[in-house]
Amino acid sequence: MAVGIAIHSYRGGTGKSTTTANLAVMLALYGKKVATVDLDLTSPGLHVIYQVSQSMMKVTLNDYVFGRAALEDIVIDLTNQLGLPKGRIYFLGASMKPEEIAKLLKEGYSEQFFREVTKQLGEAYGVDYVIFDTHPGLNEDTLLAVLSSDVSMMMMRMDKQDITGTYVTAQVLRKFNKTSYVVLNMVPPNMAKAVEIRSEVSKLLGVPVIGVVPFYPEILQHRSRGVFILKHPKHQYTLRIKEVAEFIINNIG
Amino acid sequence: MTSRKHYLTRTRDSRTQELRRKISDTLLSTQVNMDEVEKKVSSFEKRLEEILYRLDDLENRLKKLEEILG
Repeated sequence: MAVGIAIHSYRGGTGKSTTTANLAVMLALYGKKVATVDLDLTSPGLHVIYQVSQSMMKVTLNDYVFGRAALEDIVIDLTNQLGLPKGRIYFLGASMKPEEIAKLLKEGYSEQFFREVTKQLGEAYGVDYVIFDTHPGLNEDTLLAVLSSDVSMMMMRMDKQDITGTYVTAQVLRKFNKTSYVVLNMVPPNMAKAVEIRSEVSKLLGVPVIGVVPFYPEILQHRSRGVFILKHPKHQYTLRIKEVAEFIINNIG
Repeated sequence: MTSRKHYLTRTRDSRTQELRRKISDTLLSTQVNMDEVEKKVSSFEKRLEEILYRLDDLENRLKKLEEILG
């Protein structure tokens, strides 16, 4: 049965889409079948990283949500395009048309959507993991996405505003008994060297930290042109993502 | 892949309404304790500073040791 993982953050710019794309590919390199769903409706970015053109997205997630298309019509298999030797990567992109975004935001996602899409991706494609790249913030829609998934993975940067917001988010999720994990991203290199950082953040948030990813200027220079770990398999970033993927494989699903 | 196509059936979803209500209630009640949250985060930042200071200090000592050892 497929496991739904919601990747979210309190603030924007924490690297959710970059992490989603790279983590999904890493899981695929371990032989897993992974579907990635772009739910960052107001600023979708996964398709850019995966280099999916608008012509490949004639039918989108929005059509599926409103019953105008079947799941099979909107799923894009990127396995060959990415040149993956094993595993599979599927992509479900949201519409970039303003009226479609507005309609979806107004009518909202349902708990049923997350349950159904995860179940159907498991049935139709034998998917192991469904990763939802959500909209940032501590609002009703994002929390609905997180609470309707099996597991929550919060991305956090080490600045005060983000730490405070993530702390509050963790408190809210605890009230719902949600299984949650934290990945620290874009950590200043001197801070990333401190081994205590993991336990200190875990202690503060009451949530296990499953990854510490330092800030690498190479990621910025890459400018979302393709999946970084495929182009730089020996880079330190790739090794950090590998660590998170291994945790997921060994502990989730 | 199976040949049967999968559609999302939108039915009256009372679970979603209930979940949305719970989320709203939880968000309202959680915001009450913001002062306490600020205090905890500030004390966390202080600990972090101490750790970084210790790390810097350790690195400096190592550098000096390396210099002494040639």
